[in-house]
Amino acid sequence: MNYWTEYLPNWRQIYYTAIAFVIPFLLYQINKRLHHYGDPSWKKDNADETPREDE
Amino acid sequence: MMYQFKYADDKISDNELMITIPSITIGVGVLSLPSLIAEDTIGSDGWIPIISAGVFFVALAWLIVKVASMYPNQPFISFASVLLSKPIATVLTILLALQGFFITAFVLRIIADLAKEYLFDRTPVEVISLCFLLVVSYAVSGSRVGLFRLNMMFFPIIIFIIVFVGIFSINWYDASNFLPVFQTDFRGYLNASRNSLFSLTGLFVLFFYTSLVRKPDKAPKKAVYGMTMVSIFYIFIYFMCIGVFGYAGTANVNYPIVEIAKEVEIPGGVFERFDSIFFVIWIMAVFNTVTMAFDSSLYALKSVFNLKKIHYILFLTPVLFFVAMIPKDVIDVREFGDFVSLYGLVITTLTAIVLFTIASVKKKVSSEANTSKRRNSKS
Repeated sequence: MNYWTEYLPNWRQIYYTAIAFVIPFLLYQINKRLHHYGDPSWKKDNADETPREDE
Repeated sequence: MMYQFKYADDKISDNELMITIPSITIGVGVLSLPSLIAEDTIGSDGWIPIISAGVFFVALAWLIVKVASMYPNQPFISFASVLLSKPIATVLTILLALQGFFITAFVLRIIADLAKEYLFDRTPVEVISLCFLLVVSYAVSGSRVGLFRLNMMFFPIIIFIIVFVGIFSINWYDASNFLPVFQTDFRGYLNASRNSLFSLTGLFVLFFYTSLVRKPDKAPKKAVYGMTMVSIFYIFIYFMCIGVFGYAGTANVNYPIVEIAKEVEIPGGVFERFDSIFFVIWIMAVFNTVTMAFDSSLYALKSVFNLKKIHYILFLTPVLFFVAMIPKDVIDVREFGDFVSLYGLVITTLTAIVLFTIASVKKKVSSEANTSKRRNSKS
């Protein structure tokens, strides 16, 4: 029978869990910036009025 | 009206719903399914528990899609609120979302362990599962119908590779491996059916995705076809493993289908290691399973809490990774798998039966009320 202490995460698990948040977050921020500066005006207007269902 | 662009809307066809069923159910479970069944059965008797479990899940798939298609184009929480009340519907949605979460975490762990064993023997499990999870998160953050198109694209490739392995391993088939027949006792059949549960879980996605079907009239029939396909596919794989290894050999190998793929030799020596090709295609199947489970979980959560989809993804990705890494050894992973399949079976079956019963009673009561109204107005 395993004791609960054996289930405590090691440093590697914590480190990769942090990365699992950081990478998608950074990509999302970069993507948002790119859309902010790169989208044509009509797309921005549309996006403001009718936000997509899956966003 | 002119049909301008077939795939422009956010709707799916009933055929796409049908393919969703094999896509969510066929994943990591099938790799160990022949071995788990052979542990409790004698000879080639394992087809009986696969068929009995298959019939149960075919009925369940029909039930789920039937109740969801009674309220066409309505999301789960909306028709469940009508049938059960809003608070109960919310709790049920969260419980179903949890199932998607658990399936994702479990499959993530299994695929990382498998890939480490057969493909990347010097890469840590954490790195493999993180890479896989990041691709999955990217897939679910895009368009939902895109995932269904991907299912349609991957499905024939997955079927092809299994049939291919079956054909090229035909030289090792031994007819005596299929004997004796009908020697297993009832307890053996029962245990084998229980062991095949995980390979068949995942039908809860139908609660959510049926609302996306453009014309849901034929959806229950298509769901039956989809689930039948899965059962036939499993029986084919089971017979393939029994034919090559026999029941005692199959029970002693963790992933018999992978072992067969390893031994496959293509004439002309084009591929030295065919198992790597097999794995690449198998990971496509697992990818479909995980994206469907994760996406339906997001769909469920989004219908309960009004947040952006990306916020759920940013929160759930590290949590999923963390949960996937909790089991320490093979026994823990197996216990986790048992929990996931049992949880899935209980929640999905209970939800389907309760919703279907209430929906049928309501329908009957309203039709009786209508006929009595008509009679009164005539008289």
